[in-house]
Amino acid sequence: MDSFLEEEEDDEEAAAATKNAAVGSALLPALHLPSLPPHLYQPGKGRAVGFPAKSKEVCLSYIQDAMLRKQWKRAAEFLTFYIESLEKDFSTEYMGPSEVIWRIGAEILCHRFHNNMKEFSSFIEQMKTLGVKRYLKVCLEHAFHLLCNGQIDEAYQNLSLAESWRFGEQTAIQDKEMKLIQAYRGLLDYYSWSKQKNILLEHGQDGLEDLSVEQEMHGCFRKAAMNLKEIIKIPGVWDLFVKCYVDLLEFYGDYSEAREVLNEYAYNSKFPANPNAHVYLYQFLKRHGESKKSLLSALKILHDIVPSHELMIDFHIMLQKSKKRKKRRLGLEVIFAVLDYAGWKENVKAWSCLARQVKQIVISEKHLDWIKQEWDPRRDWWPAFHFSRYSAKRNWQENESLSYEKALVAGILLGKGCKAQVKRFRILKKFLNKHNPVYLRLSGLSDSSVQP
Amino acid sequence: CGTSRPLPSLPAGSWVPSVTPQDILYRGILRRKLQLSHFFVDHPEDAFGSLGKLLHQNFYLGDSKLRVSVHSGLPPCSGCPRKNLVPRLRWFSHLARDWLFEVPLGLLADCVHEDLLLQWASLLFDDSPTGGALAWLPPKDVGARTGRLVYPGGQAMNHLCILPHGVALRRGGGGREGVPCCTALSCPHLPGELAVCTQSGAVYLWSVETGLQRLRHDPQTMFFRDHSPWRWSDFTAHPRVLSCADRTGLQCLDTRVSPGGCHFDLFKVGEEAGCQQGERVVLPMYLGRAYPSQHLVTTQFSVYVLDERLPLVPVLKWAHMMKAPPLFAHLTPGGPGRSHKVLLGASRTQELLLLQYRGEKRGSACQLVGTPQKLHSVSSCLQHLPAQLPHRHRLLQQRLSAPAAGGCPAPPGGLGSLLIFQLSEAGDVFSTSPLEEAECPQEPSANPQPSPAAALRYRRWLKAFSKVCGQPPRHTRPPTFGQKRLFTRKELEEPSAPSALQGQARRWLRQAMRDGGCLQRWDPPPSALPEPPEPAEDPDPLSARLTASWCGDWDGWWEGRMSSSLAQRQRALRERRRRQKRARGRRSLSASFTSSLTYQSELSELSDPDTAPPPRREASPPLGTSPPAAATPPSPEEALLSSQSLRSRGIPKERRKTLRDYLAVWADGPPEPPELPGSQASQLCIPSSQSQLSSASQPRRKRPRMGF
Repeated sequence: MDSFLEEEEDDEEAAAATKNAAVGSALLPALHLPSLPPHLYQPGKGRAVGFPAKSKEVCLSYIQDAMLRKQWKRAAEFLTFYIESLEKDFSTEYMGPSEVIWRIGAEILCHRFHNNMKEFSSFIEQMKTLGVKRYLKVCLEHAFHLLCNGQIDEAYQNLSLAESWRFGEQTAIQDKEMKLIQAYRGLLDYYSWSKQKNILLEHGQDGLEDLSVEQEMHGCFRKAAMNLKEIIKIPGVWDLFVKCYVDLLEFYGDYSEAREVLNEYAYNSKFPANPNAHVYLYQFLKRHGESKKSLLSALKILHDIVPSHELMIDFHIMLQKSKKRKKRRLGLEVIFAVLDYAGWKENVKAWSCLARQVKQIVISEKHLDWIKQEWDPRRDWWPAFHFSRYSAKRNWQENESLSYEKALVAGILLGKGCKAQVKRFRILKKFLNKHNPVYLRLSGLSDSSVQP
Repeated sequence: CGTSRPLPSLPAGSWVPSVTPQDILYRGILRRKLQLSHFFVDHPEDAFGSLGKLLHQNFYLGDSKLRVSVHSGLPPCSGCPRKNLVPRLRWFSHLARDWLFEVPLGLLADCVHEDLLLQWASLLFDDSPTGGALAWLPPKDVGARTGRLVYPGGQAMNHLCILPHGVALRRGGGGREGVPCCTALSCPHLPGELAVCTQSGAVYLWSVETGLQRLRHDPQTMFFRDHSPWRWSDFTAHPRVLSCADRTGLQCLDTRVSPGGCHFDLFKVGEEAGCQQGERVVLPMYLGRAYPSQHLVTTQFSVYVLDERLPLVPVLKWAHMMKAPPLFAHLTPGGPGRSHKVLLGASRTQELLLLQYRGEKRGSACQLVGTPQKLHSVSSCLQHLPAQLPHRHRLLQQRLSAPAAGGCPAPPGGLGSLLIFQLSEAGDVFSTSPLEEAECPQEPSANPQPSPAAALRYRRWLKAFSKVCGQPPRHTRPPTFGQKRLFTRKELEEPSAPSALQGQARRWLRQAMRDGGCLQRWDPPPSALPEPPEPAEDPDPLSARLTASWCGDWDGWWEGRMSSSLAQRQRALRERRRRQKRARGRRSLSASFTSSLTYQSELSELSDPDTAPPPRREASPPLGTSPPAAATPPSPEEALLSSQSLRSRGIPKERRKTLRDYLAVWADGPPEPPELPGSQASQLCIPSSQSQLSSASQPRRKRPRMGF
C-alpha cells in the first residue's frame, strides 16, 4: 500500500517532469519530445513541483535516446536544459551530474562538430575544474582524444600538466590514475625516443652524427624507462608498456634487466595468467639465440595455458625436429590439441603438420600407440567435427591442399569410413590400402592375426 | 523515413496480457469493514453462485419459468460497467470458486503470499525471456533469398512457428528455447549436441548417440552466494569444453574429464572486471561466429567481451545504460575485416541496441566501432496507427507495449539491408531496418507519416487486432456445472442389487442412527480411510476449535484452552490416571470406540458416574489446579453457570448465554454406552502425553455431539 502511494507520487512527479520538459521546449527552438516512456502515459494530477530528481532522470533519458539515434543537435539541446536545471537545483549531490555532463558533452561535441578540437578542448578544460576527484580521469581521456586526432605534442603537454597536479591527500584511486598518466607519458616518451632513434640510424648510415639528437634521445629513454618501470610493477595486463620497456632495455643492451622484467611479467602469480607474457618471453629468448631447451620450456607453458595459440605450430615443428622420442610424442599431442579448436578447423598448415607426423609414424610402423592414445579420446567427436561429408565437399571446393591433408589423416584414422574425403585422391587411396592394418590396430580391432 | 518504425510482419492474434503492478497493488483506499459488509450485495454471484449452481437441480421452483430480476433491491453499479472488470480475477474465480473454500485459510494465505512474492519479483525483473525466443535461420544456400524466422507461438507457446517470407507455417510440438534456467543450446561445432543446464545447478552435455553426460552438479552459485536459481550454459571454442554461468560469473567445464575435475573461471563478477556493487550476469553468449575464442557477457550495467585465452580480464567493457537489463543478444558476423554487429534487447522496456565491434585484428585491441544505435520499439508504432476510441486506444497501447520476447537480426545476405525482427510477448512480430533509420534526417518531425505501403500494413494489422479484441473473451460467461457433469453416468447409475458388503454397511448405519452413535467399524477397516492432513504445528485458535467441534471433541478443546499450561494439563492427567487405576473395570463412555486414545476417553472418564457423583454431568472439566474430583465433589451447577465463574474462565459475555443453553441440553446426557470388558477399558483409558498432544490430529472422534 505504502509502496503504491509512493508510486503514485512518482507518477505525479513524472507528469510534472513532462510538463516541465514541455515548458523547456517552449523556451528552446524546435524541440521534439520523443515517445514518452509507458509509465508516463497515465495522467497524473500534475501539481507544480520544483525540479525533482525524477525529472532530471527523464531529461537524461531523453538525452540518451537522442544520442543513440544520432540526433546530436537534439541531445545538445537537452543537455543545455539539463545543465540549466542543475543551476536551479541546490541539492548537495553534485558529483553525479558533473560526470554525466562531462561524458555526454564530450560525446556530443565529438560527433556534432566533427572533432573540432578547439571547442572540445575548451569544454574539457571547463570539465577539469568542475570536479576535483575526476581531474586525472578527464585529463587522461583528453590526452587519448588528442592522440586520436594526431596531436601528440598537445597530449604530451596535457599529461605532463596532469602529472604535476596536486590536490590534498591522494586517494588510492588517484594514485592508480596518476600511475597510468605517468605510464602513458612514458609511452609518448618512448614514441619520441623511437622516432629519434630512427633518425639517428638513418643519419648513421649517411655517416653523419647529431649529438643533440642523440642526447635528446637518451633523455627520452630515461624519462620513458622511469615511468614504464613503475606501472609494470602493479599486477595487471600491461602488454603495451612491457613491450616498449623491453625494447628500450634491449636497445641499450640491458638484457638481464629485460629478461627479469619478462620473467616477472610471465611468472608472477599475482598477475593475471596472460598468454602474451609467455609469448614476449619466448620472442625475447628467440631473439637472443637462447638454447632450444629454454625456448621449448617457454612454449610448453604457453601450450599448457593456451593450447590453441598460433605459436603451437612452431612448437610442434621444433618438437618434431628433436631426436628425443618424448619430445616427438609431445609434438603429436600439441598438434592434435591445436586441431581440437574450432578456430583451427580449416588451417592447412596445422593439418599438414599432423598429416606429416602421422604419415611418418605409419610408414615407420613405430609408435602407432601414440596415435592410438591421441585418437581414442577424439574418436567419438572428431569424425563429426572434421570429417563429415559436408565438410569434405566444402574443403574440396574451397581448398584442395587442405582437402588432401585432411583426407590423409582421415584415411589413417578412420580406415574405410572416410570415403568422402579420400575418393578424389588415387595415390592416397593406394597408400591407405597398403597401410590398412594400421587402421585396424588404431581402432582397437586388432588381434594377433592381423598384426604385421 | 516512415519505414524506420517497426512494421508488423504478422496479423495480430489473441493475447492474454501478463500481470501488471496494478493487478497486485490495490488502488485506492481499502475500507475493509464497509466492503466486506457489502460483499453479499456487491458480489452476489461470488457469494452464492457456486452453491446455487450445484443445488439448483434439486429445487423444485414451480413449473413456470424462473425469472430473475437483477435489480431486486441491489444498488445499480455506478459508472462504466467495464471499469471494475478485472478479467484475470474473474476467470480465476470461475475456475476456483468451487473448490477454493475447501482449502484451509492459513494454507491458502501462505500460498497466495508466496505467489504474490514471486509475481512481484518477476515484475521487478523477469528472467524467463533470457536468450530471446526469436531466431533467424539463414538460407541453406548462400545465394538464396529466403531465410526463416523461428519463434514460439500458440496459447501456451507450444507451437514452433516458421515464417518464410511472411507466411506462417505451424508445426506442432516445438519447445521454447531458453526456457528459464533450463536452457538447451545446440552446439555450433557438432550436429546433434546440446548443452543443457537446470535450475538445480546441473550442467549436462547431451548428444544424440550417448545421451546425457553430467559435467557439474552444484546447487550453490560459483563465486559468491546469490539467491537466484538462474543458470545458463553454452559452448566454447573447444567442442568438448562447455561454459556454464550463474549470476556470479562464468566457468568453463571440460567434458573429457570426470565431473568437477577440470575447469577454469572465465568471468567473475568482481575486481578483475571492474564490476560495480550488485552487478550480476544477465546473459552470456558465445561469439564463436565472429571470433572463435570470444564470449559476450551482459550485466545490468555493462557489456563485456571476454577471451577464453585470457580469462577473467575482459577485452572490452562498455556501459550500455539500458533501462532494463539486456536479456537477449544476437550476433551478426560481418565477414573478414569487417565489424561484427551485436544486437542487445531488453524485455520489459522493449529497448533494442545495435553495437558494432571489431576485435583481435593483428596488433589492434578489441573495440566498439562507431556509435551504438537505438532502434525504435514496437510501442513507438502507436503514433502511426489511426486514431482510436479511447478504450480501444488503451487496448492497443497495452498490446503494443507488451514486453519483448525476442529480437533477432536477419543478415543482409539476400534482403539488401539488415532487417531486425522483434517479437513481443503478445506474439506480434515486427520488423525494422536500422540502416534506413540511420539515413533519417537528424531532427525527426513530430509525427512522421508512414509511407503508403507501411500504412497499409499497419491498417491490416489493426484490422486483425480489432477483430481479436472485438470478440468477447471466451470466459466471460461463468462455466456451469450440474451434478451430472461431476459424475459419469456409470457412477450415477443405480447398482442392480446391493452387495453383501453394502447391505452390511447399511445395517450398521441404520443401527448407528438408531442409537444416535457413531459408526466406526467400516469395512474395509478404518485404517484404509485416507488420513486427514497433519495440521500445522500451531493452528490458529479458530480452526483448532472448528476442528475439535467437527470431531465432537469440543470440550477436549475447551479443556486445553482453559488449562493454562501444558505442564498443568499433564499434572491433571497424571492425577486422573491414578484414579483410573483405582477404578479399573468401570463402565466407560469410550467403551464402544475402537480408535486410539484421545482426550475424549479422559473426558468420558470424567463423566463416569463413579467419579462424577452429581446427576447432572459436568461439561466443563476441572482446572488442572483443582483437587481430584473423587476427593472433593464438584461445585454445584448453579455455581458453575454463574456469570462470575464463567467470567473467571475467560468466557466473553455474549457467549455465556449460549454456553448456559448448551450446558442445559448437555445435562440431559447421552444414553449410556454398553459396557466393555475390563481389560479393554483399562487399555483404552491409559492416556499418554503423546496421545494428548496429538489429539487434534485424530479427528475420528467418538460421538456426534451438538456443535459449539
